[in-house]
Amino acid sequence: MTVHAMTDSSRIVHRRRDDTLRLLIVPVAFLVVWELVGRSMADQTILPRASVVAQALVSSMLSGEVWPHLAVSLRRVATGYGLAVLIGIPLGMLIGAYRLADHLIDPLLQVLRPIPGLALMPLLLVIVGLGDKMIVSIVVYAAVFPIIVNTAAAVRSVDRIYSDVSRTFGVGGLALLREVVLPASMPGIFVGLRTGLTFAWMSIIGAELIGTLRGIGYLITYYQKLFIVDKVVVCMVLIGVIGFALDRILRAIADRVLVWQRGIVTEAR
Amino acid sequence: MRVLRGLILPALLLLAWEFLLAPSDDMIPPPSTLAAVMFRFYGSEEFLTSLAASVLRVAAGYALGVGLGVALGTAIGLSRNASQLLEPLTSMLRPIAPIAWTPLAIIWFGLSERATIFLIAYAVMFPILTNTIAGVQGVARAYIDAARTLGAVRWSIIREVIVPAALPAILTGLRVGLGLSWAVIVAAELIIGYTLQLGLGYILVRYSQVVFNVPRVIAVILALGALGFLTDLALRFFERRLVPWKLATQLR
Repeated sequence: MTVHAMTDSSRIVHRRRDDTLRLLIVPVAFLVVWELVGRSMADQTILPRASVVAQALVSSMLSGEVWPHLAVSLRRVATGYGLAVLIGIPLGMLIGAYRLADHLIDPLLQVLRPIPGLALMPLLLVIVGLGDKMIVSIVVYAAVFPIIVNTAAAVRSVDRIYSDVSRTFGVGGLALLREVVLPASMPGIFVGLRTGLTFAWMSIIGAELIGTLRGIGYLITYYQKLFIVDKVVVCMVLIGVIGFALDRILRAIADRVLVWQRGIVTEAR
Repeated sequence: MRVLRGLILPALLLLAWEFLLAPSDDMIPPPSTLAAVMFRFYGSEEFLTSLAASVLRVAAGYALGVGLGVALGTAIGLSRNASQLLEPLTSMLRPIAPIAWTPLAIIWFGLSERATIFLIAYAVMFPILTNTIAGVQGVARAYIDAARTLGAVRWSIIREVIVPAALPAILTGLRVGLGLSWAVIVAAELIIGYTLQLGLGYILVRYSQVVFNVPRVIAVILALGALGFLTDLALRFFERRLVPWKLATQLR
């Protein structure tokens, strides 16, 4: 019995090691191919080799030239995303919970939603002027729609039984929304929060490509105009890493908040 | 009744704009004069050629992205080897916002059509890839076993069982990708359009930074919204035709 258990577990360990090896093959191969292609190219500036980018990454992190720009971008995203959450969740709940609100607001949302946030930039230029306000507005606009739509859908699909039971116990109105509907629709709301954060991070890069002298989006165009291609790629790597990290942080928060849901899912399996 | 209610809020906003906002701000024209200017502009050659240019760029990039996304997604969804080989690569690239590729696209392809098409294809590919993988992996084992029992070979199983069963998920990816492609074409044309001298994004730059014309800027913004809305509507129409069973199981 114990022997069995041991061989089983060692087999699992082996398989895990095989899997991690296989998972590593491609990124390593990718880096090697990138390096070789880079070396074989006649024009070394167009595709900086992996090793050159790695050096540039280290040097720009050590020299500190990227940190202030990253900090500015993150602050703008935090402000814009925070506002989008504050607007999006209550509005989404309103639309999801009350048919009248749905009928009043939904058509307007459907008209505005397909307009890309970046397209508003020229108009915002006129209304709020150049600078942080314009960029933050674009972030709010980009992030708020997925939050509203997912919150509304989640609230709409809350099981009727929950509200019936609550009413039986004399809970209604705002208390019902806060104590029953909000927790019950949390999984759906988090889907919207994640999409919204992805859109916020994406839109900040676009918004900063024009109209500011600070931020990671500005930095990447600055390097492009000076044709410092390795640093362009460094910025892309940082944008990717931060985008990934932001999503992971939100997922970790979701896992914390939705502990009860995980219980249900594993039981169902 | 429902339609009437939906008109209340937009009507109030337009009234507030006409009587409160516009008189106090000479930069922003009231909706009444705006409408006249807009419709004249929509008929102009300048608008129509730019519209055609943007639509063609989106169409080319979208087609490329859809082709790549569906092909790669099916491969990853079907084969464990393909998924272990390609998944790490796609998860490395996925978090890099498509717009962040703009500078590199300019360095690689110059300020050209190819750069815009590359950017759109790249942006479109990922949601389609993700949804195709999920769709293909979610195909019920029983369907495949049943097809095999009936004597189907590998290719016909893929074509006649797996792809149709994964179609609802693929179509979701197609819709997300389409929305993204309009956002990306605007970003690309805001930056590259100046050299190309054509495209809705270029008109935006021109009338907000070179020649000042707010009505035309608003006209283009609304046109972009309408394009996004109408193309999504078209996809939803196809969705209803291609996978009628999907909507039958949804409440709304």
